[in-house]
Amino acid sequence: MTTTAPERALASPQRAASDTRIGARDLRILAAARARLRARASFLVALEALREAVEEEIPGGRIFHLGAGPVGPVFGSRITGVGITPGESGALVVRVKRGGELEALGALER
Amino acid sequence: MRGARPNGPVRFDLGPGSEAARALLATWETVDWFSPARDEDEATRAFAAHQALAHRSAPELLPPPCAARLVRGDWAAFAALVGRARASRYDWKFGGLKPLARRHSSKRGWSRAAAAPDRTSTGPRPDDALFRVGDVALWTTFGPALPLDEALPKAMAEGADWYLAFAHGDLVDAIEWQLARADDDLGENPFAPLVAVYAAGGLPFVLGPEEAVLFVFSPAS
Repeated sequence: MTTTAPERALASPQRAASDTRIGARDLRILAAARARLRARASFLVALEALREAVEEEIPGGRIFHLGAGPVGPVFGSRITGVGITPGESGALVVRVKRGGELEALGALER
Repeated sequence: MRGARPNGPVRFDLGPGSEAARALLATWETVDWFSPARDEDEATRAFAAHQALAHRSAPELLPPPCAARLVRGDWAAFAALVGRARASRYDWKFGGLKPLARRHSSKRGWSRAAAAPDRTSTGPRPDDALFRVGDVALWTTFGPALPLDEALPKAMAEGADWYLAFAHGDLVDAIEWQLARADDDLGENPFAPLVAVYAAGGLPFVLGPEEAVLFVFSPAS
């Protein structure tokens, strides 16, 4: 995994966009998922928040099993490769690149 | 261009409709991506069948069929169409096909989470096509994993991967439609002929309610 920004929380959507080039739809989904996480949450709670956010943004939207991260599976978008994976201290946002390499984009929780 | 499924073989036993779902996946696995068309006429016929079935299923979501313009070209021509599709305000997939698929599942009372085996405590198995963690249903990615970055300049590889990702969504929509229908008759499934278009070597773009392009790679490309 690339470790440019491993455990830092994602900044504001605008800042995150400039930092990590996450697309607008992914930013909206991640922001909606974060808003559902009031405190440090288990990965299962984070995954549920992601599902709710995806369904809110994309009627019929799906989450895919994109591969394996350092601690557990990566679940996210097949279109963009952006997803979440368990980290040492909460859910991490990552991007699965075309070759399968992981790029860390920050922590999901605030 | 061909490639393996990233996670290896999958089991497909998700209740009624699974045999047809396996057939759809088998068709998908015959696709020679971004190569000269195997059968232009078949691609054209299958795309027309897709349009007709989709419109018939949800006329308010999908426009009446329009004759797709057949375009033969090279990677530059394909990349130009990808650029047009990405810039278009008309969203064929998220605006039309995905709501169509969702409506069908709702009408049939089918849900991914109810169909998926529970892997909350064990984690996914490598051969799971669909599984559930908590209440969240998760699909595997069916691939193929193509060597796009080895074969193409970065911008073209990115465009090809974008196209493939949306086509992959069509495959999963086709599978979900059939599982929701709960039988193995593919005749009314609007996504099944779309999978057949890819298998014949056609790469459709719908750029507006009255503009569809069926792109095929020319033999020299």
